[in-house]
Amino acid sequence: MRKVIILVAVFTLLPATTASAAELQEILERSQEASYSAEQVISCSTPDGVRDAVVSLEQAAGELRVSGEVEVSSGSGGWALVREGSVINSASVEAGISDADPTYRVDNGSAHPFLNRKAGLYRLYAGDVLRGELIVDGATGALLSVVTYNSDGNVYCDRRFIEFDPTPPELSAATLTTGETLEPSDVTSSLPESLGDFERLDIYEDGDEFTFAYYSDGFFSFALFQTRTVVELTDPGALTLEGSVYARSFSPGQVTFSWETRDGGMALVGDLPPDMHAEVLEGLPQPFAPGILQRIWRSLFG
Amino acid sequence: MTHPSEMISAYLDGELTRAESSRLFTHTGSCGRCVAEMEAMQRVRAAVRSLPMVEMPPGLLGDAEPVVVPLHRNRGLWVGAAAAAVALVIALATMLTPTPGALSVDDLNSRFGARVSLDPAFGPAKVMVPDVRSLTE
Repeated sequence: MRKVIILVAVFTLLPATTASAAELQEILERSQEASYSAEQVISCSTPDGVRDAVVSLEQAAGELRVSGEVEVSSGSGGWALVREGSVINSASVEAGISDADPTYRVDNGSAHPFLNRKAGLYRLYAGDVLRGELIVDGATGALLSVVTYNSDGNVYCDRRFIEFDPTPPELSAATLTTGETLEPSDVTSSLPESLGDFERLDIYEDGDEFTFAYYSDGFFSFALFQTRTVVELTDPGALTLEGSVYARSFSPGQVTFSWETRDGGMALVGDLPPDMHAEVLEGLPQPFAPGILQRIWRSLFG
Repeated sequence: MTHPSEMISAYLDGELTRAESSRLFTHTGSCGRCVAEMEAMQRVRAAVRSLPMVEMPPGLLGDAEPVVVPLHRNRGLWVGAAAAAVALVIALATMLTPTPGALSVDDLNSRFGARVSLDPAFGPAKVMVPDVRSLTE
């Protein structure tokens, strides 16, 4: 009931006062409980050109399904990746971000009809820099639109629903096979606990193959992979930082980096705007080009 | 035009046509490296031609005793050389052939998409899956 009162207050006080981080957290928690079917358009302006796509989403009873050749099914503290009815990877998730020192403040909860529905517009600022605009459905709490900005004020990615049906969808049961579920690891890792404003939330290990950590600053986020070998990107561009070259590839809503290190390979996948790339990468092991003998040795003996 | 070393050699052997010679001289007119290469080749050829011809002493072959050399005499050397060559080929092939990575780009994207979907900070709105329909394709 308290959540409803807060939301009603936010939508009716126009122009609204600053919303607190706690209120935003409640809004977001509500959005995760919403039930709906939607088509979402993603369009991003990247240094390598426009990247856009259409995604189908279904959410019911806290479980989200995103369709593609590989289907993402998540909720209830875990996820599963499903291809042709079979789970190819799954994991459980426990951690949440600390709100001790939030990076973003939320302003201007104001009425903003969207798709002929009553909705509220919220703006997120890091300091004085606008970083995001959220449009939240008044009836369900679903996030109808998320626009993220570069530090220069230009739009980086625009994600918006173009169709929205608040009828709770009937999701088929996910065929989870518990034996394949990755559990968050508590081992000591060389992956840093924080990178700039980003905090490491959880970390997973898959045998000797890779270590995977998830970072968030409360709005943007990325996954960092430490692998035995370098992950090859398809037709990558490049980002050069102080003479170090990183392979970089943009896809709708995401950016992927891959580079070789002294110990193998690293890759980063996230939704970071381009102006944040350097700050994060500079806190990680630099690209390393092994000599011919080192390459032979590594190929033969790992 | 790249540096025409083979044409220079062919020219010195008198094997170029008039048109080919003309193209070669057009190039060497502005390429000091090719001029130097041509001069070096000419010097080597002249030096070889200036070596004295040595006549074989008469009866040398007639006095020589034929010796049967067993074929396996240098087998160890050849086996070692072959093994070294095979090892070199394997090493080069291993080095030049990319090792299949444990993860593909789709694997990375799927895992990030799945994890971000559970993020309390806007996850449901930002989840992505690989190979979605692109608007521009």
